Amino acid sequence: MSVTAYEHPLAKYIRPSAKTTANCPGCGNGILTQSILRAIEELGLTLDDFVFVSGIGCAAWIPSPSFFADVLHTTHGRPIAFGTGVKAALPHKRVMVISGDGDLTAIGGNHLIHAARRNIAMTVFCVNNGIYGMTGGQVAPTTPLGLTTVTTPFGNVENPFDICELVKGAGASFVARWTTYHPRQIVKTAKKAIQKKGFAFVEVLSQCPVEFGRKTGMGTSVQMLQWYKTKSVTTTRAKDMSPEELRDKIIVGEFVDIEKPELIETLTAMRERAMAASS
Amino acid sequence: MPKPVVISINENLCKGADGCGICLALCPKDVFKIAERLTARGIRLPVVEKITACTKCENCVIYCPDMAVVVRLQEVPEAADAVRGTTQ
Amino acid sequence: MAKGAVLTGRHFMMGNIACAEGALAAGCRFVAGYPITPATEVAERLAERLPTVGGTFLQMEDEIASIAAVIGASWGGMKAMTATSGPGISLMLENIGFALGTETPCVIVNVMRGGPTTGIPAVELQGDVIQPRRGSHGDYQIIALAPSSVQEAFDYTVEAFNLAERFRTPVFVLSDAFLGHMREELIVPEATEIPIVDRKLFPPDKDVEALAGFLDEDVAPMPIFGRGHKAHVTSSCHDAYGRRNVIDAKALDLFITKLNDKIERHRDEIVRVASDAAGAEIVLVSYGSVFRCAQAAVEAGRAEGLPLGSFKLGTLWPFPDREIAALAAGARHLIVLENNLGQMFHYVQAAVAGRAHVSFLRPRVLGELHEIEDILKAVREVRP
Repeated sequence: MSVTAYEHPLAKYIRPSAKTTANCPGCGNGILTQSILRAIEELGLTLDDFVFVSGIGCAAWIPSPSFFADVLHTTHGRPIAFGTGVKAALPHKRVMVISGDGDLTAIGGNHLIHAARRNIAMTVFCVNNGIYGMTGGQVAPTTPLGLTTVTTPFGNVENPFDICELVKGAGASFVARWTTYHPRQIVKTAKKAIQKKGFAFVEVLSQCPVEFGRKTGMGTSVQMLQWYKTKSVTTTRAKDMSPEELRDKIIVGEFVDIEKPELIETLTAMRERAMAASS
Repeated sequence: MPKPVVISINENLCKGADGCGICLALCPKDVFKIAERLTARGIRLPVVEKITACTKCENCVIYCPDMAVVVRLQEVPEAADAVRGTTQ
Repeated sequence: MAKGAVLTGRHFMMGNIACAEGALAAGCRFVAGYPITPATEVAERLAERLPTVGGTFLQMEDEIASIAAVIGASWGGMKAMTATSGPGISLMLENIGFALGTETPCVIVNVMRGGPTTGIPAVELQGDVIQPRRGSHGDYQIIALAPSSVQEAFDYTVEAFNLAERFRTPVFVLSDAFLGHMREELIVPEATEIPIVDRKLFPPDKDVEALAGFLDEDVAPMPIFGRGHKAHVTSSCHDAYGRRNVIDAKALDLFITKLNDKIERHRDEIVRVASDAAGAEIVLVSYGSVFRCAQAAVEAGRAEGLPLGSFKLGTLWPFPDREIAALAAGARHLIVLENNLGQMFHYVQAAVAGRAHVSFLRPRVLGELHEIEDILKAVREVRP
């Protein structure tokens, strides 16, 4: 029997020369890919309304080369900084950064906190797999304390980031967290984040079955998804739980959604003032 | 009478139920099983075992990391196959 | 405050300011930078002027973010620049490599200061002249201009933008602490008299699948963002269509050689030298602010009957090897003057290839310019 498979409803957003990905079987990144594309579609937008920017790492290969759109695949840690220039030059385009936890919070940490501080209109998906996957499983700023990785063979001696707390503290006007167990919730949150006139940050915990799951003993892709399900607690439920009860939990939901001055808007107003004053 | 459901699995995009298996695990109705035989690429595809149990929740569609699974209502009733594979 | 992007007229101006004005005259409307002595006046001037002409200045959190934002803005279609000094260039080198590999037009001004490391910020040294050529990792070509006057700080900056646009490449302007802070006459012509080059673009309806926006030795049109080209821009090894290939060495070979040939095959269009050495047995080879010393020494030397000439390197890169070889064929001795321990000197020596004697003269005190009498003493020592 040789029958052509149906075309996936989101296939039209994928670059024809990049139909398959280099992701490992079971990688959570592909789940996020679908949620992002679905959110864009449900908003009635097209990929040409965006410029996608990504750094180095497996998550950065979500838009590069798969998204059939303008894509800027930058140096490690810098997509937010490159994206700032893109946004300044094309203020009417929506800049979306999709990159990993190592890329955005380790080498790229400085750019993350300053962009949040500036509240530049940009949607940032930080794909958090708790490890440096692409390079073979080294410890990341998000790897749990005590975990064995290829560069912490006797156990990780560092405390990990709470990335959402970091970005909230830096001043972002929208901060949220989900896991790849929550693709439908990601779509809802992504739509808000894309519409947000400000720095909209969404952390998505994503299973890395090969470098995290296998090398640290956390399990298969399916087991890790189950783990996300069991460990996740929504913000509503978390409100009524003690710090002790929350210690090993993943709090998911939308943490911040506020209004504050946005960089490009302020810049544009300043420019108009300057032009008027000099004419 | 409700239209029958067709679940399509793209053999070229799927990375195999052994390494992945997410559609099998996330299906609330155990619609899938793992194929017994390897494909030419060396993977075992998920195969629809109980199409009548499918509630069109589309978990398999949205959780597939490779966009390999599509669920549709059959427009024209087909005699036999509730499952479409691919060579495309 | 000045009105309009082009300050037509006669000015008495500081080098750094002239550089900023050159950028504006060239059509630069995006600058991102970070404060560093002795380059800060460039940024300050542009922070004042850019908004009034509809442009954008952003002070970023560091130099790495600055060059990143410049590249991003260039892909958004803008002419973009950053200005810094040696330590900032060191930070930027990775992203300068990104600009090279993705063929992104942009201008990088290095107002060189005393190094290595923190050194002395407000003292001149020609210490970073090999850095553009070999500072970023890998094998690549670069364009670098070395102005030697306030007028050239303006003119060469305009030129830098034109070369960046023409060849879709980052271009260095190698200024220094003296040039940046000294004041001289600057003549800015009418805007219509300033030649401006813009990057080639694809037509907006160009079929996306056929968009070969990279790796053309004759410079591919740039598939800038926001025009529906769906460009895939990556610094990973890629093909002419921007498709990443990190598997085949053959793809890497093509990637390296095409980018190299893009500059090398057009070097005659790029190289600039100024020769005042006809019939001179002894020629002073120099660039940047040291050229001013060479110029003064030639005047004084000729007055006392020395067979002296001067040869100025306007572009340091691509290196004017053919021009130096031709110079050496007609001279007996070249003395290379640099405010460092000999950087371009070795390239001059290689290009001369034994046709003439080549020696190097450093200033008496590194960080200060050559004394004219020291130069003439060296000339007298080598004359027959």
